[in-house]
Amino acid sequence: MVEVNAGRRRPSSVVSLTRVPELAGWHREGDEIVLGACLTYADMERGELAALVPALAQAARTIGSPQIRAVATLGGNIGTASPAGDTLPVLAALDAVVEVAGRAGGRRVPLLELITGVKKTSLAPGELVTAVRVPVLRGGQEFLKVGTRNAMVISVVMVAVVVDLDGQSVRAGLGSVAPVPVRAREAERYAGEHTDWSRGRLAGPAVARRFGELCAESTAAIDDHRSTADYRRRAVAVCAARALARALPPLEA
Amino acid sequence: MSTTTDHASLASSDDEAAPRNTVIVELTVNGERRRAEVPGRQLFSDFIRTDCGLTGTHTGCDDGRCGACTLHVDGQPMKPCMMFTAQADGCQVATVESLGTPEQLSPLQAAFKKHHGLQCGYCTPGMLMSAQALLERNPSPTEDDVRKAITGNICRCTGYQNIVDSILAAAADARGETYTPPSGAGAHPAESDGWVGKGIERPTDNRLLTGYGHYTADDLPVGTLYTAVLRSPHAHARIVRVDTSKALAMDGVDYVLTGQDAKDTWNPFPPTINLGYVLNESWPLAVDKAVYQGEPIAAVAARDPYLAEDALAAIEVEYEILTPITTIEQSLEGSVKVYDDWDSNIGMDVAFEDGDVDGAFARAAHVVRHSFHHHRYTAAPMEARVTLASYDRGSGDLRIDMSTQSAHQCRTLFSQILGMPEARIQVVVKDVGGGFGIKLQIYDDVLPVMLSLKTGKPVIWVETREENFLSGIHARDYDADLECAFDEDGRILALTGDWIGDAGCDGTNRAHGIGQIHVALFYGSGNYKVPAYRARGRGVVTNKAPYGPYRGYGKDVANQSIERLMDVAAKQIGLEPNELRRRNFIQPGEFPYEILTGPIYDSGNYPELLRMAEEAMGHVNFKARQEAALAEGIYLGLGYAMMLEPAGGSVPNSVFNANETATLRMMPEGDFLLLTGMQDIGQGITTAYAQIIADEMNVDPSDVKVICGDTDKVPYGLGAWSSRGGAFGMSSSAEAARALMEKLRKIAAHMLELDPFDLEPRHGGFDGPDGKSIDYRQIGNGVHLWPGPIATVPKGVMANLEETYTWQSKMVRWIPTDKGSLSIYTNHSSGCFAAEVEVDVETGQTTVTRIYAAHDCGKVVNPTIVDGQVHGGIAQGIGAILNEELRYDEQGNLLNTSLWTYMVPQATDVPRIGVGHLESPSPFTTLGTKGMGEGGPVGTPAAVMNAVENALAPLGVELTETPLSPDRMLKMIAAGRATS
Repeated sequence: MVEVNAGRRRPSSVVSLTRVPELAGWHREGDEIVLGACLTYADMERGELAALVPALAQAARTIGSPQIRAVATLGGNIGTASPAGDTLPVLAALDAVVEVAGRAGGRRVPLLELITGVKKTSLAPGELVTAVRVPVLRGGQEFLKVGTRNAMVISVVMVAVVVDLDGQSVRAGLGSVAPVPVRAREAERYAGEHTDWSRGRLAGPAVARRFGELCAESTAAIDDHRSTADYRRRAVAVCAARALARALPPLEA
Repeated sequence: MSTTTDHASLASSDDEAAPRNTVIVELTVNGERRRAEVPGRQLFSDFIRTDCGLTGTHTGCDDGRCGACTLHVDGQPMKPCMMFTAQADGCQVATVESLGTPEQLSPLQAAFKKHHGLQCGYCTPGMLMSAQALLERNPSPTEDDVRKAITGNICRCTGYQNIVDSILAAAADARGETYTPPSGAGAHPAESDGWVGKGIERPTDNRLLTGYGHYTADDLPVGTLYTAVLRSPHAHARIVRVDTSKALAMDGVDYVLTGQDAKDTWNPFPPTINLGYVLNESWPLAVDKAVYQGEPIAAVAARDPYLAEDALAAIEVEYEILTPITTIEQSLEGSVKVYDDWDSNIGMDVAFEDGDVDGAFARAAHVVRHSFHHHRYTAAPMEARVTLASYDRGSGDLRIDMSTQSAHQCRTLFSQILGMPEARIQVVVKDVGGGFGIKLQIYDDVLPVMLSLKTGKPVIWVETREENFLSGIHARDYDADLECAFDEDGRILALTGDWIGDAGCDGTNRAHGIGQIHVALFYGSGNYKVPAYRARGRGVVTNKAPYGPYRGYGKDVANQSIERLMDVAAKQIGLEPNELRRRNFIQPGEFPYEILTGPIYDSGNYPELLRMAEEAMGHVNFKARQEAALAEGIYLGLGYAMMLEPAGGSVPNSVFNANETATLRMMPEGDFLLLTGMQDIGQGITTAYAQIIADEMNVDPSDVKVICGDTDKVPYGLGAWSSRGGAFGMSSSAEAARALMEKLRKIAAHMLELDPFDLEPRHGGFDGPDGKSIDYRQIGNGVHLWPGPIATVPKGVMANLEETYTWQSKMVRWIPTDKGSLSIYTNHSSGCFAAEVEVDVETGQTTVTRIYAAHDCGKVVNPTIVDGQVHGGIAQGIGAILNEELRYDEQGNLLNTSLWTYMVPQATDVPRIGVGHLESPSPFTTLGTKGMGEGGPVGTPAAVMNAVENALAPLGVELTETPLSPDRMLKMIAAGRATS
C-alpha cells in the first residue's frame, strides 16, 4: 500500500484477502502451531498464542502502532520479504515452514528457502502464502530490536533467540543485517556446547558475550540511511548476548 | 557526464497504469448507510473526505505513519490512507464527527480542551480516535498505556504531555475520579486579577476537536483541479528536453506547465532577504538546469489527484547529469558551481570584530577551542503545504487560499512573480496545521496559482509528505568553530566564532535561510559578558533543497555553540559547568544590556533561571545517583543549557520587517472586532489577543472576535515568525485598544454631558458622578443609529468606533556603527533548560528521562498556551538532537523522504516535561510581554548534548557531531575511549 501511494507500484488489480476465513486465526496441531497468513499482529501480541510463542508476541509488539497492528498480517510480512520484516528472524529461529497454495496445488517450504533476496521470494505467479507452521518449544525465547527510537520504527538490527530445552539446542535468527533473514549457526553450536542442559543454564556470562560476537560474524550488514554496517555488527553482538542471557540465564562466573 | 531519459523520474512504474474500474460499496459511516460507486483505486481517506464530506479526517503522510487520518472500522482504529474504499465495503465506520459536536463536546474532547491537548488541531481528530479506542478497551489506562496507544499518531505541536494528560483525565472522569497531573507539569505565576495572566481555554478548540476546522484542503470550489509535480531525480543536471505531449493528451488532464512556459509567461522568484548577499536567479520550475533532487520540472493540473499522478508518468525528460556538490568543503573548494553566473559558491560572507581579541588571547590563562558539525533537519508540520488558487476570469481577480504564516508578504511575492496588480490578489489563510517557519515563503505554492491562471479554473496543490521532505524548507546544517579566552577565574576575555551554513541551493529567494547564520554571528555571546568578540559567518550553496527558517533561525546556532562551549571549557578549566556560567552571566541589575554586536537585551535574571533548573533537577543529589548507577554499569548524565531567544526580528531589506498594525473596531452593539496582521497557526494567538483586549476594554474575551489571515480584511501586517507576537502583535493590539478607549471616553462624556476626566471605566461601559452611566452598546448605537453621530460625537473626534495602531520596535537600530553593530531584535526571552539522560554505551542508544525548562518571556498573557509552546518546542528539540536528520548521499539523493525514516518524536520518545516561570517584563513593549515559542528547539539540543557528555565523562567523550544517533554515538564513544 505504501508503495502504491508513493507511485512506486502501479498494480492493475489488487485482491483483498480480508474476508477469506480459511486464512485467518491460528490453531494447534500436536506440537505444532498453524498460523494463518491473515493472522494480524494484534492477534499475535496477546492471549494464548503469546504464551505459546513468546518471541513472536514480542516481535509483534514492536511493530508499528495499534492502527497498523490491527491490519498488518504475518503473511504480508513474509510476502513483502523485507530485510527489516519484524517477524522473520523469529520465524527463522523457529525453523518455520510456510504453506503455499497455487493452481497446481499446495506445497510446504521452509521460510529460509522461501525468501531469496531483498523483497524477493520463490513464490511463483499465482501462488499465495496460506499458513505458517512453527513448533511449540519448551524453553526461553527472546526478541530484541534496535531501532533509532522506542517504537514505530523500522529496525536497524533484530535478534531472535529461541531455546529448545528438550532438543538441547539454541537457535538464533537475525534480521536487518543481510538481504534475507539469517541463522547464526556457528553461534548456535557454540551456545549449545556451552550450556549446562541438566540445569537449563548457560555455562557462564562470557558464553553470552562470545555468542554475540559469533552472531555478529554471521551477518552481511550494509550501510544505509538508517545505520552503518559497522554499527549493525556491533549492535547484533550486544543484542544477541543480551537476548541469550535472558532466554537462558547464565550460571554465575 | 552521462545523458539519461527518465519517465516519471521519481515514480517509476512496474505495471501499466491502473484501469479506471469502479466498485460499488455499501457501508455505514457515523450511523448513516451509504452506497457509492467509486474508482477501484480510490483510497478510503479520499472517500471519507471527498465523497462523504467528512473533512475532520486529515491526511499528513502517504504511508500510514502520521495517524492524522485515524478512524474506526468495525470498532478498530485504522488508517484509511492505507486502505482502498473497496475494503470498507460492509463495514461500520466512525470518524471524529461521531464523537461530539461543537455545541456538545464528548467527554474526551472536553478533556482535550481543558488540558490544552491540541494546538494546531491537525493531528487531533486521529489522536482522539486512537484515544477513544483505548478508553473503550481499557477504562483505567496508565500513562505508559496511553503513550503506547498513541504511538501511531504524530503530533508536532504539543510535545504530547497535554494529550496524555487529557486522555488520563477523561479516563479518570469516566470512573468518577479526579485526575491531577504529576508534579512538574508547570509552576505558574500568581493568578492575576484580569484576563491577562489566566490560562483560559481556547474557544477555537470546539471546532478543531469536532472536525469543524477549515484547513485549506477542506473547502474546495466545484470543479477544482489537482496539481501533481514532476521533480528532478538528480541533484545537479542540465535539462536537455522536456516532452509533455503524451501527458497533455490524457483524458482529464487540463494543463502541463514546464519551466520554459512559466519563464515565457512570468517573472523569476524575487529576493526575500538581502543584507549584502549574492542572489541567484531562480524560477518556480527548473528551466535549463536542476540544482537539487526534487526541484520541480513540470506541473500537471488534472481532474482528480490520481489522474494528475498518472500524467506525471507520461512526461519525458532528458537530463545531462552534472557533478553535484553535497558538502560545505566541496562548495568552498569551488571547482563545481551551483550557479554558473556566480564567482564562487559563497552566498554570504559577513564579519564582525570589536575589542582587543588578540590581546585577550595572548594574556589568557585558558584558551578553549570547540568545533562541531551540526546536521540538517526540518520542521515537518503535520499539515504540509497546501495552496488553492482561484482565478476569476470575469473580474480578473485572483484568490489564493493557503497554509501560510505570512499572508501579506505572500501576496506581494505573488504579485511580483505574476506581474499582476497586488490589489487584484487576495490571500486567505484559514486554519493552519503547524508552520514552525517553513510556511514563511512562497515556493512550490506558486505552481497551482500559475495553473489556475493558465486554465481559468480553481487549482489546488496538496503537498505530499515526500515532497515536503524533498523540497520543503531545510534548516541547520552548519560547521561551527569556536575559540574562547578565559582568565584564571574562568571569566571570558574574548570569544571568536566562525560559522559556515550549507544553504542548499537557495537561502535568499525560494527561502530565506541564509540570514540564520548572520543572526548566529550577532548572538554568539549568548547570556554572557564578552568584552572582545570576533566572528565570521558564511553561507554557501550546494545541490540540496532550499534553506529556510525553522523555529530558531540562527538563535539555535548561537545557543548551541556557546552552551556547548561552556561545558567543554568547564572541563578544561576544572570548574563545574554551571559555576562557569554563573561567573560570566550578564547580571540582573545590568539590563538593559547592550552586547558588542549591538542588540540590547531588555530584561532577565539568568542566575535565578539556573537556580530554578538546578532545584527542579535535584542537582545537589545527582552526583551520588550518577555514581551509584555507574557502579551498576548504567550511564546517567545531567546537562544544562541557558537559552536566549531574541524575538521580534526587524530585518531591513527583507520580508522580516519591522511594523505591525492592529485595528480594534467596536460594533454598534458594543462588542469588538480585532483585526491583526499577525497569524494564528495553531499557537493560539486569537485567544491570547482576546484576553488583552478584554482587559484593556473592560469586557470578557468572548466579547472580542479576532480576525487574521485575510489580506482583504486585516491591515497590512507581517504574520507569525520570529516569535514577534509578544512584541508586535500584542503591543499594537493593546495600543489600538487604548486609543479606542480614549475615543469612547470622549464620546461617552459628550453623550453624558460630563468632562472625560469624570468618567470611570467599568465592565462594558463608563460610570460618572451622580449615578450617570453609559454602556458600550448605548455609545455604539448612539454613534451609528439612534440618534447618530451629529448628536453624539464631540468636535475633533472622527465619527467612527475604531482605532488603528502601527507598532514599531524602539530597540531597532539599522544604521551600523563603524564596527558593524546593529540592533534588529526587540525582545530577549531567556531560559535554562536541563535534561537527564541514560546512555546505553553498548548500543549507543540515548533516552531522555527527565527534562525541565525555567522560562522567562516577560509578562505571560496565557500561561497554559505558553507552557504548551515550551512543551512542543522541547519535543522538537529532543527529536532534533537524537534522531531527526536529513541525510544526503554523495550523489545528492535525499535518503529519508518519509516519516518512517525521518524520525520525529512520538509519545514514547518524550519524557514528562517540567516548566517553571519567571516574569521579567520587557520595558520596551506596551504590556511587558516578550515573544516566545522558539525556546524549546533553541535550548533543548545543547542541554541534551551536555547531559550525554556528562554521562560519558568516565569514557572521555567529546561530542563533535550530531544528531546523537546510535551509530554516531558508538563512533564517538570509541574515539573517546581511544584518547582517554
